[in-house]
Amino acid sequence: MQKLIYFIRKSSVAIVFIILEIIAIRSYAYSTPYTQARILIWSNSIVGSFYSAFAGASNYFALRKENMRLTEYIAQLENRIRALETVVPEEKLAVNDVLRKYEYLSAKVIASTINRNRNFITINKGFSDGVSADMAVMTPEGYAVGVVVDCSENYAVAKTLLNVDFRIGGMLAEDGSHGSVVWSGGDTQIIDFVELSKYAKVKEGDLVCAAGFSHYFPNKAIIGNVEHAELANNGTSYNCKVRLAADMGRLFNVVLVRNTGAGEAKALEDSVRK
Amino acid sequence: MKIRVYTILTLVVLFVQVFVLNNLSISPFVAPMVYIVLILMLPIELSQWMMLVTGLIVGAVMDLTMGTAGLNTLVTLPIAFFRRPLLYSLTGLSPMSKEEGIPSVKRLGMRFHRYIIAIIVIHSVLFYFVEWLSFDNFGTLLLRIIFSTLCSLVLDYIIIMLFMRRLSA
Repeated sequence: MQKLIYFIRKSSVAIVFIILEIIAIRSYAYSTPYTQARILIWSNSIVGSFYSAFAGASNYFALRKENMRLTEYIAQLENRIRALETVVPEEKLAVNDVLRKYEYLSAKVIASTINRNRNFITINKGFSDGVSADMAVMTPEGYAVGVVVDCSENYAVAKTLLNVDFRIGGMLAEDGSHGSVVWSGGDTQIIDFVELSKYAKVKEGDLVCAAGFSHYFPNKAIIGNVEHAELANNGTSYNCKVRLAADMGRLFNVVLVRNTGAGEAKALEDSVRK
Repeated sequence: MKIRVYTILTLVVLFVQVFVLNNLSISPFVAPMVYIVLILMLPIELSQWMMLVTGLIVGAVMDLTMGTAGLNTLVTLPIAFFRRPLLYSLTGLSPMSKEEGIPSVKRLGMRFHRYIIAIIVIHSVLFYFVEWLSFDNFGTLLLRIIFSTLCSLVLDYIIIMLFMRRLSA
């Protein structure tokens, strides 16, 4: 008995070390994008205001370029509206709440990573501004960036397309063939577009956009252009490398999009699955 | 007096890691980790219990700020726990010697660099390997380890040089 107590006393540090190590390994192994977002949200409640200050400083240097981009984009939109007005009479263009399927909200990115294999961005708006989980995050030009995972009162954390745990439905803009968009790590400008039917007419430069059934992004939100396509899985499907349209390393302003019909569609899908 | 220098060192390292390096968007291959320097610079004579507690706190704080649920803790704990044997074997210091204070060139000679470089490399390799946890894209993982470790080494050395004299005084 004395020997046992002596042994425990002598090796107690080692025992505690092993226990702590096992707890850490377990907690990391069972972590999901949601736990990670939860932790980030929590730590942001402490350091979020510092992040905002830093983001403000770095945004300042990018302001000119960002302004130019936005002005150009506004001009493009103006042109489209004018073109539409010539075709559709103005009274029919009035916003109809039933038809308005998407709600838009602008926000600023205050912290982001691209150098991990699960990348997140932190946004300076939270549920007090009307942000909720599952909202799509896009660049002002309409390029897909990611999806909000969790939010606090003033901040939201979104997983970006550069997150190996994130998979969305994609489709070829031209012929509408569907596949899955998923990141395999490494290059931050290239994302994989896999499980594309072998009958799809895919060629270099083809536009890949979010499929309507993914519920997150508005239909045809642009993901990128096909850079390289090859038959895989014994020739049963195409695996494509897609160059991302959004520059993930340089996100300053983003647009959050809520699909107001998504909740209903999801609830229906879940009820069918039961 | 020493406590004050350690506090400043901790604040500087936290600032650099949390606000600068964690938001570095230069390249996917550059993700330096400097916080391990906090473990490296602890006094030689510090007990195993204190080492373990420091390792736990440093790892947990890093996990909270990076959102990695346990990754930093699980790679920092072994470094903290095995620092003493590593320090002795890498620097040739005898466990019987009554050497005290922070590890430095003055106390350990040129083998001090062997100790610093070895532990930073072990920590980096462990971190990126556990984060990746697969052999897919092994080339990418390797490049990530090489570039990030080099960056970490340079940054850690700058911090060590800045604080060495004050800590060992």
